[in-house]
Amino acid sequence: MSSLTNNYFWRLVPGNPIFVRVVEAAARRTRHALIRIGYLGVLVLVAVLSLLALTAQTGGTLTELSQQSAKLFQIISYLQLALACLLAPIFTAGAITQEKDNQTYNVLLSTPLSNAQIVLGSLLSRLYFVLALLASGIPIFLITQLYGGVTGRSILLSFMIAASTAVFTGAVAVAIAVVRVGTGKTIFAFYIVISLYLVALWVLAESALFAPPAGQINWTSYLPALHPFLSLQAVLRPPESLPPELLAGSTGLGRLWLTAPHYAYVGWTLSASAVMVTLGTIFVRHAHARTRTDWRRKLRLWLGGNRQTRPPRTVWANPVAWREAATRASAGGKSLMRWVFLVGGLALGVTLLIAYTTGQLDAAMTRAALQATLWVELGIVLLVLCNVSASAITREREDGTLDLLLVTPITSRYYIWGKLRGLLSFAAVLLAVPVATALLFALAGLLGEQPTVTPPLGGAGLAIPLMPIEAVLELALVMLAFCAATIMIALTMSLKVRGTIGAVIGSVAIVGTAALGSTACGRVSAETIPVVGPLVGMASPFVAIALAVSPHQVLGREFNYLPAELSRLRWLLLAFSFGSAAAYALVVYGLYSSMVKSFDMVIRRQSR
Amino acid sequence: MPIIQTINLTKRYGNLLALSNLNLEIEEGDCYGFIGPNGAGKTTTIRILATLLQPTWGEARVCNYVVGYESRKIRPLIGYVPDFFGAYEDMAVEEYLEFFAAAYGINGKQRKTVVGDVLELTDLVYKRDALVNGLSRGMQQRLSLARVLLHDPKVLLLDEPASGLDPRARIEIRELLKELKRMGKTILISSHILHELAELCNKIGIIEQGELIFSGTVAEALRRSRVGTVLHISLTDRLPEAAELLRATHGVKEVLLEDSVLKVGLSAEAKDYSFVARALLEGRFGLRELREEELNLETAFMRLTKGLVQ
Repeated sequence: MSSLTNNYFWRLVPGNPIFVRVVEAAARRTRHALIRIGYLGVLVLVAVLSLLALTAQTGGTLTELSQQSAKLFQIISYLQLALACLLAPIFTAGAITQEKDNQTYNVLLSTPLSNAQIVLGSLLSRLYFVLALLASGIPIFLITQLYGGVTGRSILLSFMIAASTAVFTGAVAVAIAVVRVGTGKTIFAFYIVISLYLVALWVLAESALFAPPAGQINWTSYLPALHPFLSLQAVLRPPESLPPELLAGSTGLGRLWLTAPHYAYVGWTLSASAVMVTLGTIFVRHAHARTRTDWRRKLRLWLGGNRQTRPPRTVWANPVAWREAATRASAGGKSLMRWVFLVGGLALGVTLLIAYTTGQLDAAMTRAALQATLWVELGIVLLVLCNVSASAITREREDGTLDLLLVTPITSRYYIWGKLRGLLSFAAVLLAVPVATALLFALAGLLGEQPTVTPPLGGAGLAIPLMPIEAVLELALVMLAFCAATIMIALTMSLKVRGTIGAVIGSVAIVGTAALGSTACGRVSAETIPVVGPLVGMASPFVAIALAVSPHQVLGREFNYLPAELSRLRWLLLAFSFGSAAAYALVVYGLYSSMVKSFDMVIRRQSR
Repeated sequence: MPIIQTINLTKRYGNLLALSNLNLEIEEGDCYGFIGPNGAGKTTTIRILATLLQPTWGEARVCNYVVGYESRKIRPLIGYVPDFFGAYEDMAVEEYLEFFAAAYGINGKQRKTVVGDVLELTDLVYKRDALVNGLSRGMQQRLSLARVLLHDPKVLLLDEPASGLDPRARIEIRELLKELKRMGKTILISSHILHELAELCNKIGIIEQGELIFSGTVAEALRRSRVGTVLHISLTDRLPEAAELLRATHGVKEVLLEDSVLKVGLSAEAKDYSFVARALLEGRFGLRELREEELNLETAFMRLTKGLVQ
């Protein structure tokens, strides 16, 4: 009995054949070694540079060194968590598509492997790389203990948060694979949902709703236990004050949730993972044995969209552009999503306007809500464009249609121009939502009274429109130009990276970094540098939105609430928007030319 | 001047030698069957001729244009059907054809006319509104052929167009190819269905391990593979005894007993096989059937190739 149990448990985890196969194969893969080297390289580089910078600022006393060491630990803890959040979905999301597309689950289910072995094997094989990556960073963390100031408990908690995030991500991916609702396209949604969850919760935590009372710092709420970064923040900067009204009514787990969000985060993510694995174990064979109609198929049938025939549309003279604009990006379910976005976005804009004009929202709240709406809409458009553009060439390569095009007289210039044109046509439809929302507010502003903003330090107020009419043109220009640059970046990734997943994730990372970087720089420049600052700000469509909606908040102390100043700023912003669009046009042209030049060579190299 | 010519064509994928000094010549109007085991180099050759791959060494010419240097001139002259169907999402049959017609620079009214013509030729008119994704494999292959006919190419490069098709679809494709042959197209077709190639092609090439081991007419292939006469003999009974008798008979090289049939290989000097019948009748064996083994392309292929896979 004992040996039977031992054998069962041995085969369940360490000797699980699925896990063993992956571990053996992973050890030989150069790509994994390179990612590990890159990951450790980034950690080492950041650690060394931070250490040099921090020690240069200190007088060299042990106390100062320990303080700097603690700062270094904070930096690399955040970095590690960020890398774990980035890499965990990449490695675990493969479970969704590979198992389903390669039909490997069907093969596994026909073997004598138990349900638990199949589910745990899938999960562990996906997590192995991420957990190995985290473990490889331990020595770098230990360096921070050299000067003191960092406790072993903090290091352990930092690792537990990163590891539990990876485990939770893996469990979600495997659960999706087990219940068979996922396809290759689910990966992008999976990645986006995780990103949106992290960003949205962070924004919520930073919003006025959860802002600490005046004079209090390191405030806590129910949110940190729901978010890995906020939980880590609780480890690195423990809350000094806890909201008494929250604590008063909470006991046991509720109290732990507020007082030790890091433990609560690790606890709930691991528990939720265990539940998902248990349910997966119960349903893995059951879900596969059932023949059923996929819910998306049911929805399409319900909407009458599952036809096998359709009257043909007219193909444009550039078929590549037509395909991108008319079929690929807006096909089937994606078309439905597009309509949901278009109708939902416009409805949201109208609702906001009604709430403002009926007095349910004051001008300040309306500005905040309008800015947030435009930001979110633009964010969604950029993510969709990254997905559609980054898969534009990889999907053709994967389904073999690229070969069919390459044997036609179509040249690389014509092909890439077609892609760009088609994707821009597609983007223009999506961008109509934020532009129309802005136009609604601009027209309402022309017809009604302009809201007055009072300077923070008192004095005469200034009428600042919620959306100046010329800002609609500015936003349309800057957003379209930024989208064109996004398309070209993603197309370049699509050409150079073989797989769709890699190309999409790479594009999201590059565009995300560019958007965040330009927004951060633009915001700081606009706030600190007179005249030229807003010019830099207009490089980011997000700052352009903020400058259009709340110029007084973006410029801060640089803004003196004078009508002439506002008028001059509006002219400057209009001129700068053209400058920004021209700069992006140059970037697009540069990427386009480089892609045209390298196209044949890259395609030939990949055909080998 | 051959319309397709390869001179010492060599292709290497890392350490793997896919093609080794392949010398191939196909004349205009030929229907050339390209035969070989899996991994022999058929697809690589076709992909090079379709300008999708560059040779590592040697030269490939189509219509006297060199692949790699004059690929742009080759592309309008060829039609390539790969061994898979490249399906686009959410495209109707007519859109699919219009899409590729536009890719070949056929626009305006001419495009509608051309698409209508190829739909008719391939008997797909009634499917013009059907979504490409929902077509059966046979229909998809027919659509592939329609696609390559849009620009009226001189040369058709068909990589296993009949693979995965049911018998009816295979026959339909074969009839379509015969029609194309009658239209004067030069066809290079790879397939594993050898009896169909024998019926369709006037020439065949057999490739193994990247080397062309035979190129010529089907009749030549059969002649080359013939190693002597083989007789199939059925008797009422006493088969082992008859086998012993024949082994001792002059002019018989080899006797095998398979599935109640004696397979008797005659030596080269045997002018006819009447002596075999005579020996059996003299031995009072009940003779049911005596016939010469039929030599077909499958037999020739098996004899000419060694069954080596890279």
